[in-house]
Amino acid sequence: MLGRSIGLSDDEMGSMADAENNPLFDTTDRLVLRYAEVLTRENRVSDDLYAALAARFPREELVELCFAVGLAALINRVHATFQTDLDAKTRGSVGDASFCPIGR
Amino acid sequence: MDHHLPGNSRVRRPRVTEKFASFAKKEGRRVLQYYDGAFRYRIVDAFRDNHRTASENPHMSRIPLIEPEEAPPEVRAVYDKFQASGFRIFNVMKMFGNNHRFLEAMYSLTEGVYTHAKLSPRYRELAYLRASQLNSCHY
Repeated sequence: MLGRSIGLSDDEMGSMADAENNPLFDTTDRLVLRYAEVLTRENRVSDDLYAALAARFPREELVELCFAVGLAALINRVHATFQTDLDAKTRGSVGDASFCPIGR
Repeated sequence: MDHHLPGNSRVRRPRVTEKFASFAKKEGRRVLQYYDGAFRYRIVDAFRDNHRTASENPHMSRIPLIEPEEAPPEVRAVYDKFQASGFRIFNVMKMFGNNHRFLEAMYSLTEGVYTHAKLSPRYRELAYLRASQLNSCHY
């Protein structure tokens, strides 16, 4: 799983929804998660949120962050439409992850 | 399962073979299918229950996944680029193999987000995974 491969723990991935109160996440983690959530749910980024992002990330990285959320949205829509088979390796690696709905 | 093999009348008609394609999964069998306007051999799986639909089986694509060994040259060329950049050819890429222009676009986008990015992989993955989670994506 890509999250694990870059060092995210199962605990971290499992508690992203409640990052604000979780000591596993630092200020920047929470900012990134809040941005991903707001962009996905509302697709409206307030001046305050943008200012916080712009204070933390250089412009080039801001574009990358935006595209990471956008790429997820695109791939998610592809899967919703075509019900693309899960790769065997992915299925094997997430089978024991409690936060992951795959296989349920 | 022999009635699915090439040469049998049940797989000669496009309507049947298209349906058949959606039921097939890769496992190294050569079968005749209709795609890209012609009958071609594809390497597919042993067949699943012929009467189940994609919605009854969530682990079955609604569209053929184009395997590298049977991909047209323009699709194969992009698969090669993905591999040269260190990616495995995931099923989602094989899905884009149905349209090589968008496969090419996906290559640029993926490489931009993953390969050449300056953003820390941790932040990229937190953003990507949280978005996917909210989008109910199980891939």
